[in-house]
Amino acid sequence: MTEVPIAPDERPQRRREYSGPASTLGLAALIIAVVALAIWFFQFRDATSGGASAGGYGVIPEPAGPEPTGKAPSAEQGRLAPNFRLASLDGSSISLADYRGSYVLVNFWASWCGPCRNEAPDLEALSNAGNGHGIAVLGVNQQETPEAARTFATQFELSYSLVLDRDGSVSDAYRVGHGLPVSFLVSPQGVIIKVYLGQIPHDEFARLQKEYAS
Amino acid sequence: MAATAQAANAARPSGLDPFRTIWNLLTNVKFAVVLVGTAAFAGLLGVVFPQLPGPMRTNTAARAAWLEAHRSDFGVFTTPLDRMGLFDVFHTAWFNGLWLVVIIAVTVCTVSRFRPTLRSVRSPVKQVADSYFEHAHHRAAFSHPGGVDAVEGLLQKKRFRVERTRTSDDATYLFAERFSWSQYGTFLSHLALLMLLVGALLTRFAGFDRTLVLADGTPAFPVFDNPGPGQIFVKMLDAHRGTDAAGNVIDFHSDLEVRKGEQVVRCTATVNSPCSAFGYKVHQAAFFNDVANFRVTDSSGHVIYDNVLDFQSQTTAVPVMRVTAPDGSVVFDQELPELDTQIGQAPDHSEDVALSLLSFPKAVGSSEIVSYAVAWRVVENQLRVAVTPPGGNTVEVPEGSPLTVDGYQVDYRGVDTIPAIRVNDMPGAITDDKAVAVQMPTDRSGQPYLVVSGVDADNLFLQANSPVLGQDGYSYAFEGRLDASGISVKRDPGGTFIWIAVAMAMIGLSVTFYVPRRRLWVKVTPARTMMAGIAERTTRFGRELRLMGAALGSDDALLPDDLSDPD
Repeated sequence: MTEVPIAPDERPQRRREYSGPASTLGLAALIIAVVALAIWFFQFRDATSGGASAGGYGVIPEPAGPEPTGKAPSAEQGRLAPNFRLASLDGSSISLADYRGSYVLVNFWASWCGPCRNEAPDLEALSNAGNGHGIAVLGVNQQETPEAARTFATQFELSYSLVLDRDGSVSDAYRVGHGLPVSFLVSPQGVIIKVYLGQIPHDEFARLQKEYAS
Repeated sequence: MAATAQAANAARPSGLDPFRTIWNLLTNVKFAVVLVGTAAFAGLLGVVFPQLPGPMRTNTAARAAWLEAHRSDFGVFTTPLDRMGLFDVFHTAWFNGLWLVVIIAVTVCTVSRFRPTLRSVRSPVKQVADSYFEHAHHRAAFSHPGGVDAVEGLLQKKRFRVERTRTSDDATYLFAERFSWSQYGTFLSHLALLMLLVGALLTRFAGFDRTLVLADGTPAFPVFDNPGPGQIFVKMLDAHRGTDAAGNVIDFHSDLEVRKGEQVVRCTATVNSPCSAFGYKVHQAAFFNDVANFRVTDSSGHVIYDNVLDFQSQTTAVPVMRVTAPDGSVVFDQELPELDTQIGQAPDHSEDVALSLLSFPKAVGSSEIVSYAVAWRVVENQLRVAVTPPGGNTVEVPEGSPLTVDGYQVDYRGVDTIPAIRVNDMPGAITDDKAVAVQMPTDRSGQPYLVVSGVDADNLFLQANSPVLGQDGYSYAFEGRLDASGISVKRDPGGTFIWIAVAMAMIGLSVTFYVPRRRLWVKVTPARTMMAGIAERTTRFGRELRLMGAALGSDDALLPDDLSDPD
């Protein structure tokens, strides 16, 4: 005859049972891992990876030649500006390396950005100063449609080069987020001389014209 | 004793088992109470102490400025409190770590409950020792006719599942149970707690909520802070405010274009009916009509300022004046914008006096203009208005009590708040800081116009689409008021979990408290029937057993109070 328990468990549903590390702690760890994975999926599934995107546009390697800083390119003052190639409004492709040999102000902008709109006339004036021997201006539109960028260019009668960072990879490489405009003054050797966060003051435009366009 | 018997199936510790030690801690009720208490206290700290605003968190300079601003409240404790993370409690590693331990503990507890519950439902202990019938909390013993068949029949009638488990020479043993599945109720409630925590985690770490103010026809605005292929743009095609014949607003909705890369979704969003695009819900959250299109061109016609002027709900209080000519015709009836300010002595500007000019035609149709100087200031929360006719004495005009000034009846009808904001970097600004003040009152016909102060010696009055030439050849144009909507872009992956968790908790608790689970062991002998069983502690199962005895025809089952019991 089998042994009969003296009494039944009065509240079995409230009992917790350790059935070994794998089936107790392991299962709990698995559940937590699945939830963490779900969170990661929701949070980072749209994360970008660097490098050139479709059509060869995006961040590209530096052109061959002497490396003036001895360090890898980075969007910081005193470092080589990350090279990129993007489509312009007329469909041609423009790279930052095309501006080697002259000063260039790389201006990240968008038409929804109020300060960018305020800054555009000054950028146009700067690009026109010096009769081609001053500072070139290269406007990098952040992820807008070509139509939006074209409307902006027409509205402010802009003649300087505008390129389209459609997937945001160049903005990402330059660590330019929502807070536009951001501008990088790049030397003829491709080194970032100055970083402007926000709208460049009128006085600074005057100084730039005086220093580089004369 | 019971626990000892039941736990026989559980793995036993053999020597030093760190996993078992961890498990013991995580499933310890006292530890759980301490953990939840600490987490709740930490949350309370986050409510009591001022918390760093979100956008400042990653900005070192802004954070330092914020701390300095609060140094007057916390003095020398400011830095230590900051180091402990008490000004950013909900984002500290210790707070999140604490909740992580809570989640691990709840997960381990829930997992650890599953096996015993499953076993109890599917493989219950069907036989108990005879001594149990003498000592069980819920028990009854009585004599009755009919023997075991009668007992079995009665239990089945009462919806028990009955099983004969043992038969000996002098006794038959029965096992009966009803609603055994209700034991899952407790497990379900605990699972609900786990689901709730999972939902909260998903909302906290994977949720997104941002409100954009988008005006009609303005460029598409990005939703996320950082650029990338996942960036979504929202463009307002039409912020619609429908009114009925009486002018009451009866419908707010926004026609939107949502774009991600090359994909475009066009939809209409209302407050209660969001549109869905790219995994996000887009709601109408608010409606604004204090946005203006403003453009400045230079002397050569180049656009040098073309922007949407969002007054951001900033307003100023102005009087609404009505002037009635001696012939009884109303020659002025509208808001009076502020044209200048006389700065008072008080540093908080409470003594500042607003100045304006009440200009009206001498009579209806007349080109001759009469102008009265008007001044107002706030005194004890009331706007006090004074009027000075040319060459005359200043008189205060009480609200709602018209005065006759130089033959004109001047009525201060009340106070309106009109959109008003300072705009920096305005071309042609004559102020030192290049800022101008812009107000948007409405005229007598209800049409908005702009008053720009600071670009010229005189104020500019800009009617819609009628550019005005300022100094230095700049031309200023008000291109109309824009309707705008507050558009909320949301993603809450935890929302579904939370709804499921709430449903599970309700079902679990209802099952636990309201499903009458019974488990019963019966020993039937020719002389006597003994019943013992388990049910929730709140039930009077013993009385139920005695009533069953009475139903079987027993004379000795009931106790004196059993029948008189109101239950």
